[in-house]
Amino acid sequence: MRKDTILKSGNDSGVLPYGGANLLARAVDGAHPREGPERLPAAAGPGFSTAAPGLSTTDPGLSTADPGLSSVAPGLFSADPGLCAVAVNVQAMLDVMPGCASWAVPLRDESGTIVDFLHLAATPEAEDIHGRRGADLVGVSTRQTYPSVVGTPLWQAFLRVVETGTSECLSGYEHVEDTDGVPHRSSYSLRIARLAGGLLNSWTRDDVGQRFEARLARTERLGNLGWGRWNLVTGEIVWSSQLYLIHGRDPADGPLTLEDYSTLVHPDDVAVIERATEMWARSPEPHEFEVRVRVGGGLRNIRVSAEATHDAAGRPLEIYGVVQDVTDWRRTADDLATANRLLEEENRLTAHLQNIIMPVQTEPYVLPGLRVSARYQPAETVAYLGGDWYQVIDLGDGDVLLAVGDVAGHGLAAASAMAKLRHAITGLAFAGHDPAQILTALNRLLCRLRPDVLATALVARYSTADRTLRWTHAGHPPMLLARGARIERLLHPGVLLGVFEDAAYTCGAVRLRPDDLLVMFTDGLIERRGRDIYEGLDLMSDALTEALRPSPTDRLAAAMEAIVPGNETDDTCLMVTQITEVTARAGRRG
Amino acid sequence: MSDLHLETSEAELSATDGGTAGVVVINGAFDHALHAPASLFLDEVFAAFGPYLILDLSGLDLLDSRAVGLIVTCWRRATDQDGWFALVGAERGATRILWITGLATRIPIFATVKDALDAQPPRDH
Repeated sequence: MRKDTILKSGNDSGVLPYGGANLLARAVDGAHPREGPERLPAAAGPGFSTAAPGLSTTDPGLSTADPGLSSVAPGLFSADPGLCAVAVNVQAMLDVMPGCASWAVPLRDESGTIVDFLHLAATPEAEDIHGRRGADLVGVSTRQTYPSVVGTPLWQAFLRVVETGTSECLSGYEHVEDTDGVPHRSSYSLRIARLAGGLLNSWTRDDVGQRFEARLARTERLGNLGWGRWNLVTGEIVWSSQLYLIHGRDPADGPLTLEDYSTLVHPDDVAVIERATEMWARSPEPHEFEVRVRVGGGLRNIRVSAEATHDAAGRPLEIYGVVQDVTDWRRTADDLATANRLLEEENRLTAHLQNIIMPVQTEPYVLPGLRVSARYQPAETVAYLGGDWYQVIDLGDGDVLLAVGDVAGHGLAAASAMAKLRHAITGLAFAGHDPAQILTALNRLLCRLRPDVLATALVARYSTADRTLRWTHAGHPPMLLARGARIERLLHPGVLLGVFEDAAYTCGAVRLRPDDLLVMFTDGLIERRGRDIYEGLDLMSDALTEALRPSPTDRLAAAMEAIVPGNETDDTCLMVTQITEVTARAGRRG
Repeated sequence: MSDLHLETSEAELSATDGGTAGVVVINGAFDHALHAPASLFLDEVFAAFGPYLILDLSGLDLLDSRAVGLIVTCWRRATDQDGWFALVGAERGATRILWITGLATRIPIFATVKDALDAQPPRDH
């Protein structure tokens, strides 16, 4: 703001370098005649005649100012020709002063009573409550522009200083404005002195600073951060109020020296403080660190960002630091890291368990009357890992069990449920049950023993003797049968496992031919957001048709290659079975 | 009874009083990410409306197996307390899993909430 004001003054300046005097020059145009003061029957104060009269004539630049200032208050200047020169003189002085200050002359009525003050000079940074700045304040009258001032302690002080010549300080002056768009209440500290028959007054606005301090305090409180300053030469230490709060210290006990502060630091972190001290000794760069500090009965995590100022010899003079209590944040971050570590651990364990239960086999399983390829793709999303399974096993009586399934849930719980389910199905299959009997029993078992587990499964029993497949699927997508390049769904659905204790399942049956392919899978392969699962099934069928139409030599490999997961977030399980000619060994039953 | 509402980045759940049953509408993706917040939400729904609920799924574009588990839990909870539970809008693509799992053959399904309310058996109390 200050820079802008100065630049504005400079840019305006044609003859003189500063804004106030320049306004006097600019007023030659008569561009901004002020109406207020002209209506007042003004009489100059006694001091005006003491101004140096020769100034306007000795400086070519100022000579042009005279008629300009006269246009601001022509009546006043004609009554006292020396006043203009005084105003120019005072303005030249104010032009080089920082802060808010102006010089005003009293205006008197015919009886000699002061009725107003006319501002004839102002510092470049001077700003009033209306936002007028610097040169814009020249020509402004107190009564006209700030009528609420009349009669206030400020007004009284103005009158006293004119009368007595004794300077006054006024703090906590409350200014009230009724103009729209202007702060209704504001407070000021002012200094008023008599100068050259007028009043020189400087002011600072207190409410802005108070609001700034309140905002700063709120920021410190919300961020649980404070600041401190340690002067290493004078020993002076200043702590913000929040710094006392962070350290549970009574402000009446005063701040801590750096040495005393070090005694509160956890012994393991003392080295951190020592390293920081070395940094401050040699570098002006801010240095950040975190230490544990004893506060009350416990330890707080304190993060510090501090920097040192040095003298010419490089000795540190003062250390200024911003200090934040990050205990809660640290605790949350640590908890989160622990939770993530545990999750990763469980994830690794689950994947390992999956691999133990279903070892990855890249080569197809070769069984009597069929070849089987299987692929298990663990979920990328932890939330899904661990529930999918497949099983292919020679039952030893010329039959083969083929099954895939899915346990809702994830992690070790799902993986262990999956393992139990898979073994139960295998056991029931070895006991000679058909798929419908297997799933009916399994459903009852789940409802009774694990009501928390929901599962789906497709179970098939292939008899190599007559190439008959008997199957059922409980809450599970149907398998596909590929004969040549034609794809069919083998539908014989039942309800999912573990919900309805009275559920019963029946088997479908189909006679297969050599080179037929059976495609079994879990829903991750066909499920995708915004899509009907059956659309996914159709897409998979199309891909299979495409792959099998050219009559590839290895139909099994071609089918496996054609089917890719559509949803990497979920577990996917794919098992493709190719019916082969029954070998002599496998065919001994039939 | 006040309405309940829950919004996540991927889904929106609301529950209103249908007169004789609470009507829960779930829009968006009903998947593993919604599992925990939806469980809590449905607890509140049961507390507010009792075991008489209609679940409107017509605004779903994903319904995964975890969500199926939650629907089963709701159905069990309502029927265990001698209440009534029905689904609406389960003929659409995203809810196909309800048919594949066979739940659609066991849980009553209606085209609209009004149809469901009309078909609701009289409450004992």
